[in-house]
Amino acid sequence: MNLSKRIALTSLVILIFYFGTVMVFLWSTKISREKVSSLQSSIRSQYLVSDISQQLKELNTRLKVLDAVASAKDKKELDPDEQENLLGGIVSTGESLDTLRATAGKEVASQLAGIEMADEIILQWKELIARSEEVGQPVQIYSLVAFGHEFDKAETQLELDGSFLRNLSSQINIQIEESEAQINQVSMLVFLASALIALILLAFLIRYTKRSLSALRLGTEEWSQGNLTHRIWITGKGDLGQLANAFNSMAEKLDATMEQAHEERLRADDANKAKSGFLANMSHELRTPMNAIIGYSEMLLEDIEDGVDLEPDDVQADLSKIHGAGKHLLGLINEVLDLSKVESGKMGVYNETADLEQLINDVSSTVKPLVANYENTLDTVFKLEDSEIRTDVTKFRQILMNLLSNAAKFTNKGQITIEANRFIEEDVDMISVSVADTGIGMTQEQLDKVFEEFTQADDSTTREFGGTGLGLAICKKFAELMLGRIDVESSPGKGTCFTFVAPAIAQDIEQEEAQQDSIEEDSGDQIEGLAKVLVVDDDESSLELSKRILSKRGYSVMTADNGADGVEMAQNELPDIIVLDIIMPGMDGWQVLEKLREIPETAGIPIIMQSMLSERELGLSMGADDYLTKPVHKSDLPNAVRKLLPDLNLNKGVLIIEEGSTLIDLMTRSYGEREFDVRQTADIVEAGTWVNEREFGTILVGKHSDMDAVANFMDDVERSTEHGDTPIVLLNSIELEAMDTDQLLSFIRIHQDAKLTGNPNE
Amino acid sequence: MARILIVEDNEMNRDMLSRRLKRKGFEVRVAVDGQQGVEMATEWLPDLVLMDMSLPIMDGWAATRALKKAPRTADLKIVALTAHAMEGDRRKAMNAGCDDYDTKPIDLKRLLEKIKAQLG
Repeated sequence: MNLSKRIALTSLVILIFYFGTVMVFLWSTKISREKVSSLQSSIRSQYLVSDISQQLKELNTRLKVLDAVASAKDKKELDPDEQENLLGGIVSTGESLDTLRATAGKEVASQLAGIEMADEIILQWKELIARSEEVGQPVQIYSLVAFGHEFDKAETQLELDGSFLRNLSSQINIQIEESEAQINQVSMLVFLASALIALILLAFLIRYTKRSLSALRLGTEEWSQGNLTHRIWITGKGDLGQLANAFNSMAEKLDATMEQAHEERLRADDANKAKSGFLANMSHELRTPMNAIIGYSEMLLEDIEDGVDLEPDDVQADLSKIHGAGKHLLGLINEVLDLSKVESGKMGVYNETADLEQLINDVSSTVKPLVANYENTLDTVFKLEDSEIRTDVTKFRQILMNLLSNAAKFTNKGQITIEANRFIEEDVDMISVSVADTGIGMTQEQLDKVFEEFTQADDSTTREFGGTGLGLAICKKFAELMLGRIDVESSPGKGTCFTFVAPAIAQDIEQEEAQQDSIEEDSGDQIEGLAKVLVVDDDESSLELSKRILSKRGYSVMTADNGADGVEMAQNELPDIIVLDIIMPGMDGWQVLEKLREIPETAGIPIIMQSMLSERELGLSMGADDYLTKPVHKSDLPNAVRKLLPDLNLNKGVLIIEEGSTLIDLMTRSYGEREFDVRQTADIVEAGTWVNEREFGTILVGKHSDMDAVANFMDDVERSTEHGDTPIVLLNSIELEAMDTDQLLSFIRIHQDAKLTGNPNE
Repeated sequence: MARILIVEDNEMNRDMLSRRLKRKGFEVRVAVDGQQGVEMATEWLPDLVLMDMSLPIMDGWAATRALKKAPRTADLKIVALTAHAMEGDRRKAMNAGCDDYDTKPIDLKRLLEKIKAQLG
């Protein structure tokens, strides 16, 4: 029971007893009043009895006087005056008798025999007098005196009645006293009972409240001492019970939070340990190839200094060791960079549509030499109804390449089988690509650590098979980024099977998030001034999103959150393009559009309308240059902006001259291809034609076998008056290997920006 | 001339170091793992052992402890030569019983001085 109910009940019980006391009081008053009134009538009756007795006595006396006087005067008849006088006394006595009867009440009166007697006398007198008057004769005195004896009897009786009444009075008095005592008893009893019960209830109430409160106090004390597993136990579902429950759930949450914080700290500690371990490993891994590079090069230097006759074969052997160690080092650094990108959340996922079968065939043909090296045979099995997938092709390649080269390296004269499946898992369309070998296999212990950084089956593995010990760690992280996983099964001596599982149609949402995570840091690297974009939108989140997407592409973005500000800003800042929302409070998009078209300075600025309303036709007829219906896909807005900036677009052309596809792969790995107009050729003559046809923002030169032709081409371009300011960037193989997409894109942006701002040597 | 046993699993490092020490006039033999290193040291009793630490079969720390424990090889001078160059790695090597410690990549001049100091 809850506290308020307890208090209410206690009060109610006290009230009931109070009411009871009042009732007892009323009852006792009533009883007293009854008793007192009967006492009063008894006392009044006494008076009346003695009064009547007195009157009778007076009548008797008067008769005796009359008799005596009559005897003396020998008079036998009553005078009319006397008769009248007598009759008056008789009537008055009769009235007194009636009063007495009324006063004493029937019950008492019936016990008073004197009344009857007096009545009788009075009645007889009255009759006597009445009869005399009828016959017209005066009343004979003797007839009246004859009653003398009756009078005496009546008087005696009346005296007896008087004492009876006195007795009655004293009896009533006693009764009054008794009932008073009784009333006192009952009142006291009721009072005591109610006081007792009220006290008991109060005691219960206090005890309950006190116990509950002390449970609460104890609980909070326990918690403040850190014992968060303590729970407050209060009976009932009342207020305090609820309070206790609220406290308990608070403690539970606090406990969970503390637990979480503790776990997080442990995780952070673990991460720290892992980081230290990683650094130690890294140091070790870097030093080992460095040892070879420094050692061999020092030896060669010493040889030269000592004037030793060097055998070309020996020198070549040592140099190739230096080269190999250098390449190993580079691979290591690249893999560490990949890993750190994944871990800092900067590794984006760039999905594109691809043909799974073709993708697998491409990769397997790349690793064929390695497979052949260990005299293995490679088979591919496709169990695909539909080969079209959407995935991050680069990461997919890297994963598959890694799994395949592992399989090839750890298998000798064996069989490697790639099997591709497509299936539904938890309602998601999935693909799996497994790489099974018949190689040396792994023990359970090795399997447990296979995806850890810098772990190889054992230390001798590096010696025998090379590798950095990071490949599988990266593959696993890539797979997770792609919302997939890598499973592994193996038995020593029999072989290993790695299976990469991922969604067949990857969604781009994750990419958006991954990009958003790194936007804050990235924004500092943006090249400002490519084009100024004004975004007018009253919805804060929508405004923020547009700003972010456009900033990410290098645009300088201004924002206005209402129509009037938008117009003012457009006039003052003269942006290159305006992105305009329609539904806004105050001045809406249509009005802003109209206004902007009226003002001469802003009339020519391209405007992209962006709205939930599907009013494309109307928008275009009103003078908008493009119309996007929200929700807008993240690449739609930058694409629309780019389309409307033809002059700037010209300079964004990128010409790639290379054999193979290193640079073009890097460019197409992300939105770079869409941002820049990319053309690629290995043919120098064709490149020359293109350069004369149109202007390029940047010319990139990658791997090419005919470097003389490339040099001539570069000279021609640099010397030409038309294209002399076009930046030409020659990337050597080391740079190419170390470069990733982001670096390449910012590289191009820097060159283009330098060109736009007329500073080509920047 | 002093005799040096190189215990090193990395082929390139083994080749490079043995050639450079031979040029300096040392008599050099090589072992490719800890166990082989202990066996060769016990049999050949070189003047000095250059011990890598990350070794297959038996690691450098265990090999050093084994050599220092056996009466026959207890007085062998052992110099740890490792790519483990983090704080604590030196102490770990010295605790295992090494007489000195040097890190990779090898600075030959520094290493020669250490060898000279050990050989007295």
